[in-house]
Amino acid sequence: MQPDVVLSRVEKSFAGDAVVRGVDLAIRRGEFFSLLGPSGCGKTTTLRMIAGLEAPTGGSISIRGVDMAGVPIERRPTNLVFQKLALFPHLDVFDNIAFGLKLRKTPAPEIRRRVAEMLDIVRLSGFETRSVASLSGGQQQRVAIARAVVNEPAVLLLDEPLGALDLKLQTHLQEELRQIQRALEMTFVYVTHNQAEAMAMSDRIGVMNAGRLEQVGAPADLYLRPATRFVASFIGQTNLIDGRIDAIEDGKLRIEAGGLRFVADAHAGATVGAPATVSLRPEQIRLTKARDDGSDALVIADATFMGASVNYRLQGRGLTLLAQATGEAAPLPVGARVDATWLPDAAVTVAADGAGTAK
Amino acid sequence: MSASTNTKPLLLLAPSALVVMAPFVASLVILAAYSVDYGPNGVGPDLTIWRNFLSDGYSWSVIATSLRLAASVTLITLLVAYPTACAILRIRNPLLSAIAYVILFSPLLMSVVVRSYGWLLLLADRGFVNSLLAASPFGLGPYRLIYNETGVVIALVHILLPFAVLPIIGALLQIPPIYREAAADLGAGPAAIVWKVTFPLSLPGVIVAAEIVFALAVSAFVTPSVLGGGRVLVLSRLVYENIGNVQWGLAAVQALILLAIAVGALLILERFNRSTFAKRAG
Repeated sequence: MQPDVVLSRVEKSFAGDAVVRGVDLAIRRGEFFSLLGPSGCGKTTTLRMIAGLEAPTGGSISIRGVDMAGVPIERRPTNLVFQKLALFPHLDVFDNIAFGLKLRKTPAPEIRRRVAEMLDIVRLSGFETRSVASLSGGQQQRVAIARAVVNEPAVLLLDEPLGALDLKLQTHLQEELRQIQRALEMTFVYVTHNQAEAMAMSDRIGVMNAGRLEQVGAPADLYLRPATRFVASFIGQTNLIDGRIDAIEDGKLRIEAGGLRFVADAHAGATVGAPATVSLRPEQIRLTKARDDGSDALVIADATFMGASVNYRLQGRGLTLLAQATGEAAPLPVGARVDATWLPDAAVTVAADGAGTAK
Repeated sequence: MSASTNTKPLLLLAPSALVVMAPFVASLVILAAYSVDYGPNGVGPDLTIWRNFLSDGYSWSVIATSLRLAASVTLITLLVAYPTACAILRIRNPLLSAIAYVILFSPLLMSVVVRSYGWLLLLADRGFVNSLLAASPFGLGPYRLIYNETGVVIALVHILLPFAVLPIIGALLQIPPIYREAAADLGAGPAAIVWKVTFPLSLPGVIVAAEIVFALAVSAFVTPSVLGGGRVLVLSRLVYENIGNVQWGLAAVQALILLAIAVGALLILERFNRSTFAKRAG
């Protein structure tokens, strides 16, 4: 199926400062897509360019096959849920939600029907005549979502809409947003710096860093097969170990780092002797008590009991490793000497930042 | 809550209250006393002066002129001030912006008497404005622009414009740009953004502007005197004449009525202000 939103080589600079650098991206129809990255990575600017609030300084954006260059914001098939909500303070809940429909000269009975329908979806029926200032943060959030969704845009853009809410309400609204998105089969583009939020809601995630799209993939792809150092460390916790390619056989790389051995899928251009960085997730590491007194064993420098798991910091061989053990009755004591092992395919090689294979 | 948290703000207000309110209340009391003190030798107190003034049709025609003048000056000033405020805010160049503010305030840099005579020259039958109109391709005029209400309104709008533009600029600056972005995102073109978002959100500033302009216009004295040439009679003019004629009781009555009109207008506009934003406050 034809993608809903296509960005090709999109660039944006403000007064010579490049904020978005050559972003290529295709967002599928009906998917919940998140742009994830730290603040200042260009994700919000990218969203604002799709909305039409900013014009790209290079490249092009098309929505449902139509080039958006020169299409002003008010005529784009998108609606934006703002980070600061921007509910109109001089209008009540009904008039806020009906704002877009009225501009489109929708007949009054249809406006009433659709607003009522939206209020039902966001569970605010009966709030029509309330002032927006009298609503709680979560309720204002729902009105902001309703005000955008009621216009039935091809693409709904959301700019960190849950950022200002407390954690419990965030989790709750995440579920609601996901349900609304599934029920309406609408394309959502969601900007967030919160990787847990992106993982929980998204069909696919695009990870941005320093204006570049580092990697695009399903949450599990990004977690299990991060393309770059940045993606590996931004999504979940990981150990990044710099080493050297020892051998290449059967499409596998043998990598040696600090006396530890890893096997990873070979990537294009890999040569024996070249430096390589390996990402190994803490939960992939199995710890056993060291049998001998070999000087190359690892020592537990720190142990944190988390309830369902225990987090360890290991030191030795010039390395610091994080390990996470689950289902243990009692944590290993600090100072204990341990051997660390992992399954052969547990490690992946990652590229330097900005050299992502994102498409 | 302790007593000190309640009394502190009152204590802080005390100096300004003393400076502003004490002379105001004192002069009100004196005015009220004069207005009921009938006759040169103080026969009163009774309401004879009030009764005589309010039962005279001439008084009411002067009150009507004052009200009509102040209302039309307020309306026209707002109509000119609002686009002016929008335009000044759009000037990006700091130098041009500074020049715009200087031009805006230029009426205040001149003495009111000089300015009024200046307008008299400009608006005279063979003055600059009428010559311009006659020289125009339509060959208009000449119009009678002085010694009537038209001239007074023109000159008052000129002097009062900065008092209206400033509060409107303040109100417009307080509107976060995100509301305009949100309106545009929901499908509003430039005109719809102004009409449905910017203007309603700037209404408090417009109402403040109306309050200031109305209060100043209804009590204006020099401009109606010079440009009215004695033919435009307003309350402030009557007060002045009656003081000159040692009719202090009558002058006090007229001054109190003038004050009542200004306070009444203020209360009506404030009420309008509150009802506009009742929704906002919830």
